[in-house]
Amino acid sequence: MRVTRVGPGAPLLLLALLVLPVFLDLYTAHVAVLILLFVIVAIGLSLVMGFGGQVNLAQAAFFGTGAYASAILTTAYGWNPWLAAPVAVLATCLMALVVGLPALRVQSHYLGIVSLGLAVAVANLLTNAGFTGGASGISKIPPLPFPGVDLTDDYNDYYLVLAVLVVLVALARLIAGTTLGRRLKAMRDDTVAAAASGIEIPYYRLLAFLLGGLFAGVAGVLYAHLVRYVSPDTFGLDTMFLLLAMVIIGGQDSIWGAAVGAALLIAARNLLAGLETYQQLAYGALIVATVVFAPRGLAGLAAAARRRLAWPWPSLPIPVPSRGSAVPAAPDPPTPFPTPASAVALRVEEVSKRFRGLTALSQVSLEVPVGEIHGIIGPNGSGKTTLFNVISGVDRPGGGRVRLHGRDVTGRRAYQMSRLGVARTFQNLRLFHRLTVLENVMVALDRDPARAHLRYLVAPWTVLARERRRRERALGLLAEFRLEEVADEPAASLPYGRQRQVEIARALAGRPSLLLLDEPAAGLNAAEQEELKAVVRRIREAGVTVVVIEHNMGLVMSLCERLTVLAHGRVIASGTPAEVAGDARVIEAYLGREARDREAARP
Amino acid sequence: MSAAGLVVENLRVSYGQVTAVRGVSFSIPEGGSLGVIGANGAGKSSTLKALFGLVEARADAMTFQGVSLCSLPPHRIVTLGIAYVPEGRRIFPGLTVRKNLLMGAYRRSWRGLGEQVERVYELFPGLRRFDRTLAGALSGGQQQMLAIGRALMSAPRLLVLDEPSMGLAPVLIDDIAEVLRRLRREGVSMLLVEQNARLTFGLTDRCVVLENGRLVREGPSSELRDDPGVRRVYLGM
Repeated sequence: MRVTRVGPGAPLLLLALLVLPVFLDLYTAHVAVLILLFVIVAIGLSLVMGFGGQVNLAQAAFFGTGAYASAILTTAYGWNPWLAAPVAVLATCLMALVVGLPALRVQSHYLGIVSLGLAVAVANLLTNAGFTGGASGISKIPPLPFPGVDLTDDYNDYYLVLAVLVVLVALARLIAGTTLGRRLKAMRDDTVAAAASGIEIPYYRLLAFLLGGLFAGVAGVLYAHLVRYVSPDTFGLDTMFLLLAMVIIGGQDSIWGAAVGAALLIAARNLLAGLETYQQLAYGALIVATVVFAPRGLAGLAAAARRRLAWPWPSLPIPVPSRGSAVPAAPDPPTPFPTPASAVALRVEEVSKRFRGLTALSQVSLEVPVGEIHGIIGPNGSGKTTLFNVISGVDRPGGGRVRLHGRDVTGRRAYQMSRLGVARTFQNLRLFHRLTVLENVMVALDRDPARAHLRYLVAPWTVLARERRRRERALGLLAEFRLEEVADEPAASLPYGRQRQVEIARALAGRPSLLLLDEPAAGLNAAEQEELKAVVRRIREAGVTVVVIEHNMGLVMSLCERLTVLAHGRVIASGTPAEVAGDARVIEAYLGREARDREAARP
Repeated sequence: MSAAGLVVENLRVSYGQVTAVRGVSFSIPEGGSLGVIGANGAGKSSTLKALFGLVEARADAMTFQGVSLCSLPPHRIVTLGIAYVPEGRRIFPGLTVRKNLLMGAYRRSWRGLGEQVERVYELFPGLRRFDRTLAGALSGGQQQMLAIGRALMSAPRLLVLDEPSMGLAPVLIDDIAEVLRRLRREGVSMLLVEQNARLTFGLTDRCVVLENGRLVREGPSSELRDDPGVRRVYLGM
């Protein structure tokens, strides 16, 4: 998704929406207002669930919280609606954060059950509590006072909601196409790799819920003051199910998809009123049909159609203001690493790690000087990958210390290690498979701290400028790996060996001082391995210390300056490749017959 | 050539607008073996997936022991006696090692399964002590052994392997080569995709070289091994 270009679609749609009320009678105008409101709520749900991957079944409850909060403040306490509105939105955001807390512990269907439970609790509260007016709800909610405009009129309401919707769609599209949306999607695709790319997972899970709450809260407040009557059944499980249907039918990670899905379903519900008996059944059938025949929803179908037709839609670049438009923008400053105080890049001191009684690492120590290419070899199951997990913060050690440039970093989390300059690849490949190759690299290239996302609210245009620079740098990096041709392909569509290259490019994008490569040559042929060697040497020339796990002894012997050999979680040998290869224990445990025979054949 | 083994004629695979395999033909006689080598993206894995109906493909003919594989779903292909070791292991991480193995025999009669598991443990003694361990907790190399063991559980007549040596320590590659040789002696046919060309040449009678989805060389493994061009690109010397 690119937001820096805009086709004629959005302006044309806006024009159509502006003239639409001319053709509507009073009832359909009211339905149109409802549609626009639900589009807002559905987009919020799409951000939490489609982008952030957080199963949130409380979105309807968020919608209700916004509506009821504003309704109660204005009726029971007599607040001015303009004062009550921001307070109600804030209350909804707080509610969303509370509902999001379990996401720090559980994910997927477990999270779905927890959030559903909270949604049911809210629905019960609305139905039974005194201050919510019980089952009959709250009526006579004051309209929003607006000098010169009567906001009890559905036609005027329509334009107010449309204005808010335009702003929120723009915000959602901006999020979807830039850093924040990409980080959310990365987290959805692979939590471990996202953390290893510097993304603070707990923070982004809550942020996803916060975005859902923000959109639902705004829609809720508008609902309360435009419809001027709230009752519990509007925000119950039926509505939640409808919202889910909108997002699934529209396409989970598409802002437009969610909007179209919402419009279709609300229009169907209100224009086919009287057929309630079969409504739920019809939604169910529609969802099943979508999942079976178009798993990526309407947005997926549209994308496929556009690819097939190669739609020649012209698109215009949005002028992005940058400091001095003629001057190319300065690149982001390099990540400020602590200047290596010691000549030792990595020191592992007597690290141990046990998994439920199984000792994976036992008192492992090793030292890697700055600028060395260090190899780790050992039989399968000897703890090599576990050692990487401990160094990169994916696992916490049971004992011992890890020092990075002399600094004690034991027990830091993966995202902290990433920000301290440790990057890694994974043995079984952990790309963000639904992101493109370019986006994979951009996720890691992006070293903005999370607080930088305030830009989305304060100065949205700077987001685009930074995005463009980041994109250029990512393309440059892909060119070094000769991956620029596949930049816009989904990462999962590449052959295995190419995916490994993308992983290395992604790891380098974060400008690490220490690079951990877990079996980088797996799946590469001899010629490709030569290329890999050249790449690793170039990385070292750039001042990066490299530690590599690899079984290909030809590669290890010619690439690494020193080796550490693990067996059963212990260091059994270390030294230069020649020393290690001659070690009897290493031959016995690791190199095997061929090496033994070669050794024996020597004079 | 007898139609008894595997026959593939003019196989084509494309993903959307990208063509991965552009008309590849080969055959493996009953009890024979074929190695496939080539760079990343040459179409090796796509060829294997096409054989198993895992990707959409077109071919003039694709038969095993005279039965057409075209339009057969993967689970039916397994019952014909073909087993597949996918690239990147693809074990079931939430099942124990034993259950992973049993899944490999899912389409077989359950009689004698215990002995079959024993046989796999005998071939891969390193797996035995993880019998009740969740497969997701195994190291990468152990998972690779498990993936091969799982394929063997269906007692295949043709074993199709995509990079079996990936992630294995040299000493284990020796072991696996030994296992595969033993199976060959027992009459199992083999189709092997492998980046370790030395291993491929040592294990197969014939080899084909793929480049950009086309078959560019074919011949006895011993001949290809001594070919200067092949040596330079695939053996690195």
